[in-house]
Amino acid sequence: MDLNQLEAYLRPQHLPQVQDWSEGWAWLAGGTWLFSEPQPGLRTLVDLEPLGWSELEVTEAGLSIGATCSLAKLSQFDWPAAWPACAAFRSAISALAASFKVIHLATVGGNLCLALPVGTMAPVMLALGATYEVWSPSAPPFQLPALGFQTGPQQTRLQPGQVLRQITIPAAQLRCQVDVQRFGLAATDPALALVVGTYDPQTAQVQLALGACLPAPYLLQFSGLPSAVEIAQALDAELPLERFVHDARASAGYRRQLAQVLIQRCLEGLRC
Amino acid sequence: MLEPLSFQVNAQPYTEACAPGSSLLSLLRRLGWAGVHAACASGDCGSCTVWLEGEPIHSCLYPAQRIGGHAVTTIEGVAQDGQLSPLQQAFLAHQGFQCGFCTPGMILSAEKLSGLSEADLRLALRGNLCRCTGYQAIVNSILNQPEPSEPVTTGAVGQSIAKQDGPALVTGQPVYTADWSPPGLLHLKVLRSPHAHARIRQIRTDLAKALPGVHAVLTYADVPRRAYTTAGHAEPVPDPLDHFLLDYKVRFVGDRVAAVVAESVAIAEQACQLLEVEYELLPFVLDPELAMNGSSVIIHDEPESQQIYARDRNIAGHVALESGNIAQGFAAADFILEATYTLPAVQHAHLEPHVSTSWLDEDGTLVIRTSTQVPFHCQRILSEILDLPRDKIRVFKAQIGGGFGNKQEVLSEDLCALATLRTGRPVQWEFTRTEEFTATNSRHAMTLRLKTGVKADGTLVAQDLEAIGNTGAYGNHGQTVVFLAGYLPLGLYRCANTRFRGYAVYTNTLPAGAFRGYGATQGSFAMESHLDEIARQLGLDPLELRRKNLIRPGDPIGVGRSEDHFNLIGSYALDECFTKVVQALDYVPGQPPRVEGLRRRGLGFAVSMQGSGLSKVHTAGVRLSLEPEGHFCLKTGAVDVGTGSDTSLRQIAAQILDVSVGDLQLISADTHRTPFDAGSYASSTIYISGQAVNLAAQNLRGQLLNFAAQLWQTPAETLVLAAGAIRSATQQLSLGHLAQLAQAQQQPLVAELAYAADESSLTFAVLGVEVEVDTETGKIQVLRCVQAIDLGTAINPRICRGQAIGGTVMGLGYALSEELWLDQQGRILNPGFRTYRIPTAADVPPIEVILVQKADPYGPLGAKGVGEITTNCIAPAIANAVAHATGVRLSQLPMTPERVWRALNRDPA
Repeated sequence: MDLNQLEAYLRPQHLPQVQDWSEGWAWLAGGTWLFSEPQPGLRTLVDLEPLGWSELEVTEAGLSIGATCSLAKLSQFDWPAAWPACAAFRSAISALAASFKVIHLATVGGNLCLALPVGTMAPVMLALGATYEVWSPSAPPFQLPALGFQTGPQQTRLQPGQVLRQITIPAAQLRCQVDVQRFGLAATDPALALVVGTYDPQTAQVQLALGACLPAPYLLQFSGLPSAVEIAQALDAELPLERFVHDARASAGYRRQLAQVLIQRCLEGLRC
Repeated sequence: MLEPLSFQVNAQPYTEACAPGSSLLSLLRRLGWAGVHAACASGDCGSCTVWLEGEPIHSCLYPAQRIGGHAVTTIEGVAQDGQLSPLQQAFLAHQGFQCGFCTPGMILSAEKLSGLSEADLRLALRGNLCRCTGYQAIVNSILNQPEPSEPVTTGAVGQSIAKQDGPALVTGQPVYTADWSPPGLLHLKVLRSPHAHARIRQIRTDLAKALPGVHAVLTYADVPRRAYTTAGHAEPVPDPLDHFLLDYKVRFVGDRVAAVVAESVAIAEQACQLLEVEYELLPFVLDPELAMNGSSVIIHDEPESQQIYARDRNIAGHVALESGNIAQGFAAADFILEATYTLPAVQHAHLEPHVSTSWLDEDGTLVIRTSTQVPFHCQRILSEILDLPRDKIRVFKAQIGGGFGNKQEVLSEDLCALATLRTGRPVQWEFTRTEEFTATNSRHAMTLRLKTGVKADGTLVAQDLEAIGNTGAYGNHGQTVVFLAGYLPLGLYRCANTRFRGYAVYTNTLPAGAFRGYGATQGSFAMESHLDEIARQLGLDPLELRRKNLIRPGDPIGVGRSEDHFNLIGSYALDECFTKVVQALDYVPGQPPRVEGLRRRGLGFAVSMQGSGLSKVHTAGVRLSLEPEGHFCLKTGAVDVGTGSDTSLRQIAAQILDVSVGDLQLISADTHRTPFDAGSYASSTIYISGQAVNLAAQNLRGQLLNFAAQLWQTPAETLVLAAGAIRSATQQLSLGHLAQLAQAQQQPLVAELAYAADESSLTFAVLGVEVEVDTETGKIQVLRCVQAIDLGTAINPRICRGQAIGGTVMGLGYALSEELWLDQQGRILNPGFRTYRIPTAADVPPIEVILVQKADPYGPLGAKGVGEITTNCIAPAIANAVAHATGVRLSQLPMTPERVWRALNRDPA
């Protein structure tokens, strides 16, 4: 939609050209959320597109994903056969329940930094142990772990003017088996609960990232494939009912039930 | 404005500057590419799809500032050298559209989705919403799948003649209201209330008026204070007169506060934010039962309002029907069931929003081009509230992008017209999708309490129904909707002792209004769930119980007094409908549910009836002429809301006059160019307007034969009209020649008449579904759906199927996913397609439609209404199938997974 109150639209060729970051400024990645609803406080958009941060790089150390890599590019990439965990990208993008026309434009970094509870890239990055490289126009880059990056609904550890530049995932994690489970009200509804699970055949480590049902994604870790009892114990200990999202779409209790069901189904997928 | 950008659209070069926040959608529409449709502006519906360098995108999400150096293709650029693309041709061949508003986006998306399975295609179409077709015709178009074959007929009637507007729709022609406007256009925006109930003490307009580009600011102080109803009904108007152009009081979150007229939408929006409104907050009430019993809030205390049943109790309308003696009936019953059914407010979600454009003609006539189902009622209402003679107001519709009852209202025309009168300028007012969800109308949320007494064999002996409908802040359609909620479902069954009490109750919420099914949808859910539950508890077959009690040919409607009725049984093929549905689903009475692990499958059924138009009060005028050039001109006030009724009406005339549909020029729905028609509502267009066309065509046919008979000095009975000519045993006269002779003799060949039906025939439908319930999550999946409709003659079977599938899918959304959520302050929490879930292609099961054709003795060429009934059955059928599968009865819609899961776990929270 038209953002009629917008006063400026910047297209920097280099990040340091962005000067005097102020209140009412926002980074523009794909635009698929920013242009999808009114943005009352927004005055200036800084378009990241000309910076060309959309690379996908496969090295022996692992994978690096440019922040403005489109979801379509990530979804359609021809992954090394030794990295079965990369299947999670496609599943998670599918779980976003967005139109393929949105997937063309929406970006990996946009999905992470928007930090909606229903975001699907964040649980994947949590399960895969990703690290985020953060840039700003006037300060040196630094790294943040995916774990803890999203702190709440539309809240991250990024400070005003800071921008996600790149995501890196270690190769060891990409060699894991993976399974993604989602549940929504309808076939194409944003998820009520999402579980991304990885299983490392070398170490028997299981990582279960829960999304959509919590204000921010959460990682459950097990040293082997857990039993139903162990899962229930972990949920009870780490995620009491009040931690789950409770809104008009579904109650906290129902989301918790879904989380349990999806974890079971995810583990069944990982066992196969 | 920033630096101009150079780009191409459909190979045409442009260099344009645009505002920093402009979307590509707005830029393309500003440049005149009207095939790019604006419906949600949030990237959810896909109507604005274009190709950017060959890749489909939602143009509403794309910053116009990024377009420099790029090439864009819109629907207008898909056909090459006048040759439609194969997919455009497939959409025409399979009629993959109704109103056509989603069509350009569907085609541009599907062009890039080749080689997918049907399941994958349906998933891939999740960014393309359609509210009319139920997607089946769209999927068939894309996959080029064969369609059901229809019986071969000789005349035009009974053939699936293509919708005549198809070529314009698949090529994105500028046919909708917003696609054209006169030069010098101003834009109107309304500031809407953030409060559920407040008195406006003062509105300071100075800052807004001072903003450059603002032409007028209108508040309650600037408008005549006349109470009217926004509902488009024929006189005598049954609705409360309780609405004002602008008022000193707001009654729901979203109510109108003030209007701004400015050079652009952006300036008007900005000026609205500069209005300083001083509110005196008033206590509010959101719950209808509280509003009627025990609240001190009076929503309509203003003295000017009229026709309110009991304003001190917030009761807008009241219905009481009674026959027999229910106390005696219940005393004679072997078994009594009492239950309460709770139904939500839901939204029409027509893709084209409400939009009007008004201007003053050269002779001073106020002209309103608008997306309306009721142009003539609109003209009358505007005449009353603006104090202008009717003939100084011209209202006409362009192509309509869906209505479903929400455009049987005057919601955008009134302020738009007033703004033109005040400024002298053309003015346009187009609603945003948020306004559609928060400030138009909903289906009435309703609570129905039903008590039924039966004998041990299932014979009904007493029924007592109370319906409390939440009519929101204004009473438009309230009483009549509540009436149908009781009258039709109770009337469907024989029962000697029946009582119905209905209340349309004001609350401080979004007004409820007309919506396909019009109360019958709500009542059918209660009745069909209730009878199913009685059968279950008595161990009877639910279909057998219904068949034992259903009304039969010759029966009067049993509820209330006969003078309360306006329907009768004409043709009757309910038995055949049952047989067909039972066969299609292989239903065997008493068959147990299928259990597969944690999943359970069951079958469920429902029956419904709906009238065909409104008898006596619904008038349709037609003027049919043979023009001097030799073709026929059909002028009708009837409104095609996108269904294809304009084509069906021509088929009726073509049948009588033995010409092809293409030989009939149609001019429709224009108060200055066509005769009066009450409009498109109550499943009336074919039954009433179609009968007017039929009678006019018969009349004109007689005139043509008489003309030739006089010419040849031979009795008219010896002549035939066929294939564009009149023939006797020895002579032949082409219609072209006849027209010239008639013109030379100054004898007009015109039939002009108005028709109102004495009685309205009942259409019946039976629907069955098979569902699977995931007991771990509560999710319902509909596996199969079969509906048989007793619709008389299908004038155009494909259009009738389109109504059936589209209506069923609308009912599917009502059953499973749609609900307007209100917070405790009366704000709607899901005013957009991302959070208000209408079915997507992937949510729709295979739907089989069986048209049971048995000619009706009253309808035109045997036809009955079919527009609404198709929505009624699927929700109760699903609830009944879930009960069969799991033993658990759902009595609240929508049947969300959480509600099902809670019911399965006996958890009421």
